[in-house]
Order: sequence, then structure tokens, then C-alpha cells
Amino acid sequence: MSIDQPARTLAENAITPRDTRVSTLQGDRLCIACHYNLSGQPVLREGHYKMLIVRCPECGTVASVQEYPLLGRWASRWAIVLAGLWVLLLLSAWFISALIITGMTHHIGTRSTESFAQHVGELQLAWGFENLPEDQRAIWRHYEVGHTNLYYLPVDQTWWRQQDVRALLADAGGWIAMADWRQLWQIVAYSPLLVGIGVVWSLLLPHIRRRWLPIWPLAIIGLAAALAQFEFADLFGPGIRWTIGSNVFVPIGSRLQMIAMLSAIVPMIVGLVCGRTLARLLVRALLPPRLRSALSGLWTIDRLSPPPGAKSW
Amino acid sequence: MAIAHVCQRCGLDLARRHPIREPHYNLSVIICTCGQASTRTVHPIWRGWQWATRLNAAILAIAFQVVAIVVFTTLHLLSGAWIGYMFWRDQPVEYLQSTGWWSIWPLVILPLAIGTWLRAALGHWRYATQWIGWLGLLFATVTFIMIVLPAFMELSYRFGVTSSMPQETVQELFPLWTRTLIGLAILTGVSLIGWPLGTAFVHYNNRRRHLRWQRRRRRRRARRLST
Repeated sequence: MSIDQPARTLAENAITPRDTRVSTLQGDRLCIACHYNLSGQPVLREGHYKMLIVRCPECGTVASVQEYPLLGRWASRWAIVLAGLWVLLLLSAWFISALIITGMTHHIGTRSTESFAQHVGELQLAWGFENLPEDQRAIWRHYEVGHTNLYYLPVDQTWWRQQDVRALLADAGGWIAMADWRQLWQIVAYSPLLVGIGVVWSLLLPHIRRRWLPIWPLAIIGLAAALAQFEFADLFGPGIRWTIGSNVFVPIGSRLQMIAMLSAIVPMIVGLVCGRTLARLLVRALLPPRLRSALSGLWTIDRLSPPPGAKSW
Repeated sequence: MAIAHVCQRCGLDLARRHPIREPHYNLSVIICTCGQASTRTVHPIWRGWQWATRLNAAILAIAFQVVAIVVFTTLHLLSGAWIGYMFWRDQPVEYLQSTGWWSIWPLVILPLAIGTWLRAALGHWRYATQWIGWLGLLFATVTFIMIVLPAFMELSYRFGVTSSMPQETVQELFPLWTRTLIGLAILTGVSLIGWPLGTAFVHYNNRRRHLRWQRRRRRRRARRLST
């Protein structure tokens, strides 16, 4: 009988003359098919390969007794559940990281658009005070030319339909002249958070070698850029947004937001490259040697020797 | 009941045999009656559970340490600033007397707690490093809060990145910063009073762990002999 031949039927599973009884199973071992406890069953030396086996008296399934006994199906089921949860955690962390970067770079884009929004807002106010009756421009009573930030000035749809944003921008000197480039320095203030994101990712991706880790921020920035498109695009059809700022954001703010996103890659790479070193430093600083063994993976993933058991500082 | 462990030569179930530590590789080994040696290793599931328990303990310890550092740093900074403010006044002794028994908290209780914690929870550091590291952390934090952050905000305001000026400039904060540093140094010196208490706690904790381990070993032995 070769390995390719089908398994024997239940009736054929009785001890054959070629099987030799050598001992009795005393410990616990569950049948891999029906979970019957094989304790008390004879241990046999089977005829084909001279392997030690135990046959289940309930279903006839042969269990090889060379390796650890299976304790049931739940071990593998839990392994699948845990792996799924881990993947879910990674996907959530990816989404949250991208969302954070979208939010912080959007703020930079908004601030860089303010001067152009101010210019457009003043044009609308000038038009409104000339052409609209008092009751229709009551909503603008809190806005004052030259004193108030007009980014959030509500748009008058009649006036806005007559405007062409590109023409307005070209008249004002173009997007490069109207953008407030100094706002890109805000990325320095956000750097600690971005480095922190990098540190977290360096620990969440232990299977990736350190030299490949700097690629990961591209995936985060890619998702952040995709999320930003939701704001740039008119998802609910062509229309006019409520405020001046949101209407003029795309030609200036979106470009600076993309530049800010690209700048955010650098602190994230710093966090990714230094993250495991920082984590090891933290573990060595805060934990006594007897508690470090569970975290020795932080050393072994970078092919370093686990921390010594002596005083470390 | 023990998990089945069958000898690969003769098929005898070695589940109830107790392993010995062999001298060459320090492996846990069982010698069967037929002479075949088999190793007895921990089952992967049990080993995974043990690892998860140890990891949990390590993460809890790190969380505790981080919380302790944040709380003690904050309290130490506030107390240091208060001591700096006290010395800045014209009549510090009269001011201290006017505060009454409340002053015992920042001047005695807090340093005692910090000294005990430094000795007990950071006992794996060398003695000198504990105090130098702690003082360095405090100095760095107070410098960041009082000098670096306002300077950064001031710079941002000057370059037009932010629209609001910080309430106090670095020049105004500088005298307060130096006095706070002196207050912190004094308080760290007073923290040494917690040293003996911390040492006693470490001895007590080591003894407690040793006794627990002894109890566990005795229980295992009794269980083995009963089967």
C-alpha cells in the first residue's frame, strides 16, 4: 500500500496483524478528528514505516505520536482569530495615521490660503455693500474689511456664480504669490507627533528589516492624499460651498497640503528608523532585568543580543 | 492528567516520569527504561500563555513607571517652582510660617515619596545615575517649558506662522527659570531621605518573591508525588 492510496474505511481500521502493540497511552491525547481522549489506548508500531501510532476507538483515525498532541481545534481557531485581529489593528492604525496627517496638513493648507481668501472676501463685501439691500447682507454684519479673517465669510451664491476662481487668482498674482509659504514651518511643530507615529509603526511592523522601514511612510502619505481628495473633489455634484475659504482652498491650499504631506515623510522616517532603538532604551531604562525577557523580541528583530541581566546604567 | 509523551523507541508513555536536567546542554531530559533519551519541553500553547503573562507584566510595569514619572515630575516641578518663588520673596521664613502645616507636603512628603520610588522602582540603575538622571530630566523639562517653548512660539509669531504672541517672553521667564532650577536641586537633595525606605522596600519585595517561588515549588513537588 502506498501513500497515494485512499484512507482505509472504519471497518478496516482495526489492529492489523502487521501492527505490534508496544505500550499503553497513559497521558492525555485527543483524537484529531473526533476529540475523543485516547488515554488508555494501545500504542502500536505500524507495519509500513515502523512509526508509533494510536488509533481512535471511536472513529478509527490514526494519530502519530511523534509530535506534541493537539489539544483540540480551538488552538488553531484562536490563532486565526488573533491573526485577523492583528491585521485589523494594522489596517486601523494605517487609517488613523493617514487621518492625523490629513488633518494636520489641512490646517497648514487652510492657513496658507487665508490671504487669498481675505482678498476674495473683500471683493465680495465690496460688491455686497453696493448691490444688496440691508436685510440680505445682515449675515455679514460681523465681518469688517481689513479687520476680520474673511476665510469663514459666507458666500453669496449670486456673486460667486459670476466669478472665475482661476481668473481671480491670476489677477491677484497667481497661486505661488498668494500662498503663505511660511505656514509650511508648522510641520516643525507637528514633528514630535509625526516622529511618534513613526515609532509606533516601527514596533507594529517587527517582521520588516530596518532598512526597508522608510518605505512605509509612502503608504501612509498615499492614503492621506487619497483621503484629502474627498475634500478637494465635489463628491455631491458641482456646487458652491458655504464659506469663501472652502471655495478658494483647492487652487492654493490643496497644493500646499500636498507639499506639507511630502515634508511629513522626513520626521516619520526618523521615527521609523530610531523607533526600535528608542523602545529598547525605554525598556532598559524603566524595567528591571527580570522583566525584560518578555520584550527581548525588540532586540532579536534587529538581530541584536537580548539585554543583559545585570545593571544596565 | 499529564499530556501524553511517548518514547520513540519502545512506545512507553513517559507522561508520568519526572525529567532531569542533563549536564551537557541543560536540557530537560527523560531516560526511558529502554535507554532512549527524550527531551521534555513546555507545550507551545502553555509557553505562549507564559510569554503573554510575562509580556502583560512588563507592559504594566512600563505603564506604571511612565505614570509615576509623569506624576512625580509634575509634582516635583510645581514644588520646585514654589520653593523658587518662596526664596524670591522678601521674607521667605515668614511666608513659610504663614503656610502652616501644608508646607510639609512639598517639602517632606513628596521628596520622601520620590526618594523611595527612585530607589525601589529604578533600582536597576546605578546609584549616581538615578539622581543625575532624575535631576537631568527635571532640568530638561523645566527648560523646555520655560525657555524652548516660549522661544519657539515667539519665533513663530515673529515669522507670522502664528497670530498670537506668547503671554510672557523668554526674557521675562528667565529669572523664574533659574529660581526654579535652584528649587528643584534643593528638593532633589531632600529626596535622599527616601533612600533607606526604598532600600527596605526592595529587600521586602525580594524576600516576598523568593517566598512565593518557594511555596510554588513546594506545591508542584507535592502534586507530582501525589500522582
